[in-house]
Amino acid sequence: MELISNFAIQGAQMMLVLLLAPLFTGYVRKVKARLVRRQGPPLLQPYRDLVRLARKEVVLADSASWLFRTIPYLVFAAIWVAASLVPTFRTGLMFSWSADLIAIIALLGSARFLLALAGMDVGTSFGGIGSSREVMIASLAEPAMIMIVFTLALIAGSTQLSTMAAFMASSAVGLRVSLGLGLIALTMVAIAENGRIPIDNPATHLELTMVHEAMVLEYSGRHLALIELSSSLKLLLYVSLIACLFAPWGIDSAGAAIPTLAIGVAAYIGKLAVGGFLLALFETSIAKMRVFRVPEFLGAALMLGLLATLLRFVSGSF
Amino acid sequence: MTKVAVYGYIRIVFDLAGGPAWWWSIVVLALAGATTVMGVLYALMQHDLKRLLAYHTVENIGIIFIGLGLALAFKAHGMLFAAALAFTAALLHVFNHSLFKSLLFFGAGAVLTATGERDMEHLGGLIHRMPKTAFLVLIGCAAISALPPLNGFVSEWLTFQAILLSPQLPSWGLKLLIPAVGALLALAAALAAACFVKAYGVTFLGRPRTPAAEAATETDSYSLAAMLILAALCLLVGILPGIFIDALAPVSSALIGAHMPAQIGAQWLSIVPIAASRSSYDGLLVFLFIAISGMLAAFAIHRLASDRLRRAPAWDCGYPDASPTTQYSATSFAQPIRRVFGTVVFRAREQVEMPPPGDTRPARLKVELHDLIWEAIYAPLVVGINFTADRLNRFQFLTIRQFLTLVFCTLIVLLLVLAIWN
Amino acid sequence: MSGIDFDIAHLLAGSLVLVSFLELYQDRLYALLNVYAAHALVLAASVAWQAFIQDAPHLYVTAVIALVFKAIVIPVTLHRLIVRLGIHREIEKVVGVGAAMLAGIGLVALSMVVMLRVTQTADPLAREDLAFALAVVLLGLLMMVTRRNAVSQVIGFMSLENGLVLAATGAKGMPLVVEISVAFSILIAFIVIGIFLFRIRERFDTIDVQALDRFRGERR
Repeated sequence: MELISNFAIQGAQMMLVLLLAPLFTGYVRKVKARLVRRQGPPLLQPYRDLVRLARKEVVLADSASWLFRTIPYLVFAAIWVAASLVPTFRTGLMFSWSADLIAIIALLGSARFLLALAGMDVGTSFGGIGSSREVMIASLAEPAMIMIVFTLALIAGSTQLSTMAAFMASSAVGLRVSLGLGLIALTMVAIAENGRIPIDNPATHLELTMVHEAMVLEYSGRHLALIELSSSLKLLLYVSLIACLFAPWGIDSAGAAIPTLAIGVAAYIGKLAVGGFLLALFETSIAKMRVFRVPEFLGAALMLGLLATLLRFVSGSF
Repeated sequence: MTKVAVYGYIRIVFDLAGGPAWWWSIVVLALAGATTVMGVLYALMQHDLKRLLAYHTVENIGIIFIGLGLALAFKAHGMLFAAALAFTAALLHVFNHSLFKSLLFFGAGAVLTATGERDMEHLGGLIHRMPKTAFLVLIGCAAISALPPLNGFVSEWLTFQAILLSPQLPSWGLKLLIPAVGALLALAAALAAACFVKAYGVTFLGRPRTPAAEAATETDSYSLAAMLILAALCLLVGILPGIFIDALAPVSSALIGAHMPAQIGAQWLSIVPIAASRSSYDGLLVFLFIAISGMLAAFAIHRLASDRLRRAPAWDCGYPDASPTTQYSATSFAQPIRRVFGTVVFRAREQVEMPPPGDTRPARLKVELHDLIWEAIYAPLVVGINFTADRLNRFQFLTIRQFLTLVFCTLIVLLLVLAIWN
Repeated sequence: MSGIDFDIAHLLAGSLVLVSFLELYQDRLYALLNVYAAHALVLAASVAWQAFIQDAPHLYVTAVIALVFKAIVIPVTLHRLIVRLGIHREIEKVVGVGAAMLAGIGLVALSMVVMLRVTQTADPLAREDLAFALAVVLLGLLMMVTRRNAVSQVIGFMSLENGLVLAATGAKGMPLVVEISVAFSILIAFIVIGIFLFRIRERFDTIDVQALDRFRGERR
């Protein structure tokens, strides 16, 4: 009985993140539009976009290979698995011990590896621009993320995400300096990894001003639908990660009672609303940076992560 | 071949030199951290496939020595359990490296045989002409970039777990050095992924840049079989690392005095390096999840979405018939990273010579890189050795009488030493 | 002293270090002034919190002085000064951002090691606050060393002084008379620096301090 309810909750988490991801993207777009006094697209528009793309014919470049056609499925699988392991409304998910936070980041890294290969596959210069810039950004964002993981692991005593979330929700954690530094660094890394302003513009389709869109330029039809869904999932993953680590109120820990689960889901949706609003506010109030200022931005995130880890190494009360 | 040096080091430092002094680990960790990052940056700047792989071996040796340095530090302070973890991580990386690096070198050899080219900038599009080689080399590239569920990730994960145990070390130098080494390790891992996107993308993907690349054919089945065995082993070690960790336990007991907990009994074939509450990783489950999610997605798409497909020319922004040379080359792919890291590390400079308008000469881009470690350390050494060798060359041209005098004098000196030495 | 008091004091001291790093990262003069105002604001909050947990009401006065003078008066005055000098251009740095941040991390590590080793027997809260304060002082010095523009060097000097105030309040007991004399000396120094800036600009048409070196008549 216990086993079945655990299975059910893990399954519910997987479906919840999958269904909420396009809604979250639509919500952020709507808030951004409203902040600049436009009407903006309807909230459910991303769902309609996905259905429309799925029904279209795939137009494949002459020089594309079997790898190009397989990559959307692999990328989607990796990101969906990673998103299912981040606690949203409940910690202690059934398979949460199989991949800790380092493995989740590595899964996102493999998705990015495959996407960069897809950019190189067709053999035009647009894909090359996207892939080379993406790996440059990743070469700084990933170490910053690992340093943040170290900080959190040293505070919580474990690299397991469920254990960390449970620790943060308990009263044993204080207001630590390294947590503050970690939060700022994690926000900077999340913005970079998801290709939001000021690193990349998710709304433009001019090849020379974007990174992610340039890599996936040649994708169309059902492949593009999978890639778009994967990007939405990745954004949702990062917001859920920040929420479960730094705003863990309302997360239920290992109980199957319906009221606590309902509170957990409601709290999660509330956190997504707040997070989406803050993201939209940040994106509308800042301009996109030149590409070669991005390493300075991410270098600062890496330094903050390193400083936070250093402080934890030096003394247990930081 | 480089593993012989690692073996010699382990044998001397862990076995023959007696109890290690803790400050040795500072030297090892600092050098290893620098080696790791420098190795992968050098690899990123290369456009010869085999040189890239060779420089990348430098990075992997750096990772192995980070593990060994941590093991030294823990052992010197008596934390034997943590030392066993770091040591096992290093040895597992030695084994993994032999698997995926050999696979990649076989792949490079296959490409060389099929096209006669080692320079990536003359290759491209080989995935269409050598599909099986391309698939196996892709597994090698993913393994070396430490992507789950393959084997490179397991040894890197274990090294990170060992780093997370090190705040318990009492020495201040180590407390400040180890976070920096951790950051360097993470940086090197990200740069390694970049390096292999470049290597695989420029060589196998895209369109062929020369007629030699267009005329390539698949290699023979013996080479393919060899690569297949190595790729299968990469996947196996990634999915079932517990077996290999337990196989390394006797080595760890012999040299460190402790070994990691037995992994066989862990649930669902996961590995638990320290304690289940602290961290665990299940390669098999991650592999199964990815496979199942991928197949679910494919099933749903092919049920619910359209399955039509047509081929068309790639998006060319209105310029018809772009030649294959407009693709990104290895040098251009590495340009952002060269600009971010290379100006300091290699004194990288780019120069463009543009002919005036109307002139039909091609423009030239010149990239200048200095290998600073070679210039600062090895080059003076080489000059010194050459100088000494020139001086000593005179000994080849002595007369017979002079040779006999030399032998006689050596004999007298040795007898004198024997007489005076007590 | 209970855990939460510790933690908030640490958080505020750590935020001061973070804002010092932000100052190192800034390129443009207006942004630098705003970050300096934030620096003084965090200092005021930290001093006020120390006054609360140490039960020392004279520190509230210090906090108010920091708030009024350093967070409001001085940035506004410097803002007007910059407008009158006509220098809204980008700061030319001697060292790049990456190298400055790396050096900053090294300095923080150094101050941690020094302070925590030297004060083994002191009260743990004071020790760690002193470590952060030394880090802020060193970062202020780093700013003075890595900038060419005289106004940014002044900002570096002022953040150094903020670090000293943090150290003094953390070490339990800073008599009001000391605070007033320090504040006055800063005010005088500030007036003198302002006069000098105008004279330098009148003479050389720039306040890039490298230009001064060229006119000293010494070979480099």
